[in-house]
Amino acid sequence: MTERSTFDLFEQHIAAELERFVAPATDPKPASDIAAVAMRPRHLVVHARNVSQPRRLLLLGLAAALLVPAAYIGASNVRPPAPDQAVLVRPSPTVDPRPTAVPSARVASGYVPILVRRTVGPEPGISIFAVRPDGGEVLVRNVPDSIVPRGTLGEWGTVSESGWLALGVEANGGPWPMILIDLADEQAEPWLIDEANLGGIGPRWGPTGLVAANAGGNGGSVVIADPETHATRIVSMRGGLVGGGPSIIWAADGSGIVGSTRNGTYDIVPLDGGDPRPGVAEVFDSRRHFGPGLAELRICEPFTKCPGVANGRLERVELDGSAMTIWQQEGDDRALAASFGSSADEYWLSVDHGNGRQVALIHVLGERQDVVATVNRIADWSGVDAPQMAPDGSMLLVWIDNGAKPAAVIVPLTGAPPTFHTGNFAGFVDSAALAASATGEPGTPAQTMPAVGETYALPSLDELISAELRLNPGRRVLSKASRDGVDGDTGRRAFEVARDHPGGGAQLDCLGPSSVTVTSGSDSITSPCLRAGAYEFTIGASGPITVSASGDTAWRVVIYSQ
Amino acid sequence: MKAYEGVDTTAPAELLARARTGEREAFTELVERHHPELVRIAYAITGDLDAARDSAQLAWIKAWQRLPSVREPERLRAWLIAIAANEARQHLRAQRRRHVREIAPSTEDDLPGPNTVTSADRLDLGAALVRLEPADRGLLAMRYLAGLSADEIGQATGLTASGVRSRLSRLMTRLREDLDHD
Repeated sequence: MTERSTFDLFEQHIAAELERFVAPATDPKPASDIAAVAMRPRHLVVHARNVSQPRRLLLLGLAAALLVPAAYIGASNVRPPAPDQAVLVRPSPTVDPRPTAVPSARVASGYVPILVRRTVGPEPGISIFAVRPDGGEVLVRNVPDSIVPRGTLGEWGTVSESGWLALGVEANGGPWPMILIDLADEQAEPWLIDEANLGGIGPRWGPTGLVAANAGGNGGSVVIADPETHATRIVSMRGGLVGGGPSIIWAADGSGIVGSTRNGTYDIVPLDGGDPRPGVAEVFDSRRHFGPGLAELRICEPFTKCPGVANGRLERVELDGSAMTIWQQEGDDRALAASFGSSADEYWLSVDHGNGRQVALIHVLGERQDVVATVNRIADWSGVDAPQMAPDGSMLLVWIDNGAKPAAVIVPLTGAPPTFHTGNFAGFVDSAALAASATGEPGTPAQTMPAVGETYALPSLDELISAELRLNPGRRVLSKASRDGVDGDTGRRAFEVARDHPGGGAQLDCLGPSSVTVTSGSDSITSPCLRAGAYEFTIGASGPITVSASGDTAWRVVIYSQ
Repeated sequence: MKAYEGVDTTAPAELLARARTGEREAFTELVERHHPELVRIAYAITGDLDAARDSAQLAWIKAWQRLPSVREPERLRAWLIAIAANEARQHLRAQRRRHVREIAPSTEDDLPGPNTVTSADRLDLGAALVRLEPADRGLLAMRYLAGLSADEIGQATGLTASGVRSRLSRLMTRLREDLDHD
C-alpha cells in the first residue's frame, strides 16, 4: 500500500486515482508457477535479449530451453545464472558440419538421434545432423535463417519419429512462431506456424503425429498442428498447462492435452473442443519427465523439500504428494538426474562415479538396478541429464551441458564405444524417414570420449575474482581462500579463512565428488558441488569462517565488500 | 549450527540470500510477496491486464537471471518494480501503439484517502493520467503507487534522484494544467 503521509493533497489524488486505475490488476496464477517459469533456464531469452553472459548457467536448462520441464529442474536447486561464464568455459570438442547435404543411402536402420547446431558464416542458420550407430555424424539439412521473414532459427527443437522437426523462430520483441521442417523431404517447404508463440514453452509431439505449441498467454491456449495436412486448431487450456515451466503434456492416447485447473487439480483438455475430462491417468511425455498420473521425480539433495534426511535418494512423487524411494545412494556416487522409463516401474539415472571422473548410467526396473554404461567425463561438463533410450533400444543418449553449448554423449548398446557430439538433441527419428534426404557415407567421424575420465574443472581464484569484479566493479576483495581437489584424498578437514576486514559477503564455488560446508558464526551453507556455479551468501560481521571439505573436492571462497 | 532450512523466511535479506543460492521455495516466496505489486505497476503503464501479467512474468524471468547481481536486499523491491515497469514499457513499444484505458466512474466509497473528490474530478484525473506517455505513467506509478522515493526510483532506473524529482515535478505540473483545462 502506498505511503501517502508525505504527499500533498494533489499527490494524494494522484495516488488514489492510480489505486483505482490498477484495482483490476490481479493475477490468479499461483506464485509457484510464476517462479517456476522464471527459474526455468531459457537460452532463447538470454540470447534474444542479449543479456550479459552468465558466469555459469546452470545449464540443465540450456537443454531445456524449450524442453526441460519443471519436474527435472525441481529435482534440485537451480541456481540463478550468475554473471560471466567465460572463465568456466573451455572450447569443447567440435565436429565441423559439412557444407551441404550429400544425397546417398540410408543413415542406418532403426532409430537415429537428431542434433541441431547453429552455424555462422555468410549464410547463417542451423545444421541438422543424424548420428549413426557407429557415432558418425551425417548432415541431414542446412537451413538458412533467410527462410523466415524475420528473426533467426532456434537450435532448440524437437523432432517427431517420422522426421518433422519443430523449431522456434527467435525474433526480437517476439512473438516467436514455430517452424516445421520435413527432414524426410528435402524439397518440402518449411511450414511457418504463426499461431504459435513459443516463448519459454517448448513444442511437444504427441503420440499420433500432431505437435502442440504454446499459442500465447503463457500456456493459456495451445495450437495443434498436423504437419501432414497443414491443418491447425487452437485449444483453450482454461486453467493452464502443467508445471511451473509450464510443459505441454499429452494424454497417452493423443486425444487431448493435460491442463491444470485453478483449484489445483488436473484434467485432460480434448483437442475436439469438448469439455475437459477430470483426472489424469496415463500421459505421453516424450522427454519422460512426467510419469503415469503426472508423477514426478526428485533427488533429495540438500535444501530440497524431501522429508527426512537429504541423502541423495531418488523419489517418485505422486500428485497427492506421496513419495516412494526409487533409488538409494550407496557410497559416494550421487545421482545427477533421473527420468521415467517406458514402463510404469522403469527409470533412468545419471550418477556421479569414480570420484567425479565418470558418469554411470543406471537402469532401474522394478527391484532391479543395473549400471548399463559408464562414461568418462570431460572436464568442462557442468551438467548431465538422465539418459534417454532410443525407441528401438539401440543406444542411450545423455544430454550434456558443457557451458555455452549443449552437447550429447551417445552410448551404443552394441558394445561400441560412446561418442561425443555438440548440438542440441531434438529427439530420435526412424531412420527410414530420412532415407530420401539424408545420409552420406562415410559420414563425419565421431568424436571419441577421453580414454580416462577428467576430474571436474574449477576456475582459479583469480579468474573468479576477475569475473566478479567485471560484473561489480565497486566491490573489493576482503579475503579469499581456495584448495584444489586431490584425487583419492577423501579425508574431510576444516579450513579457516582468515579475515583481515570485517563484514562482507561470501561466494563459494566448488566442484567435486563431495559437498562443501561453509560456516560463519551460527550460519552455514552446504553446496553439493555437483555443478558449476557459485553459492553467494551473507556472513557474520566478524569471526572466523570455516570451510569443511574433503580433499578430493576443489573449492574457492572469496569474501567481497558488499 | 543453524542450517539453511532453519533460516527465518520472513527476513528479506535471508530470503534473497536463499533465492540466490537457487532455492526454489525462497524464490517462490519472493514472487508471492512482490508479484501483485508488479502486476499493478505494469498495469498502470499498459492499461492491459494480459500485458501486465505477461510483463510481470517477464520481470521475474529477468529477476531470476540477474538475482546474483542484487547486493542490497533493501533495494530488491525497487529493483523488481523497475524491471516490471521496463517490461511493461517494452511491451507497449512492441505493440507500437498506445493503449488507453477508459476509467469508469466509481462511488464515493471507493475513494481511498481522507480528501473529498467528486466523480467528475476523478474522471478528469483518470483521463489526464491515461494521456501521459507510458514512461511517465510508470514514473508516477513507482512514486505514488509503490511509494518509492526519488532516490530509489533513480537507483532503479538509472536516473539521478534530482532528475527523478524534476521529472515528477514537471509531470505534476502538467497534470494540474490538464485538469485546469478540463
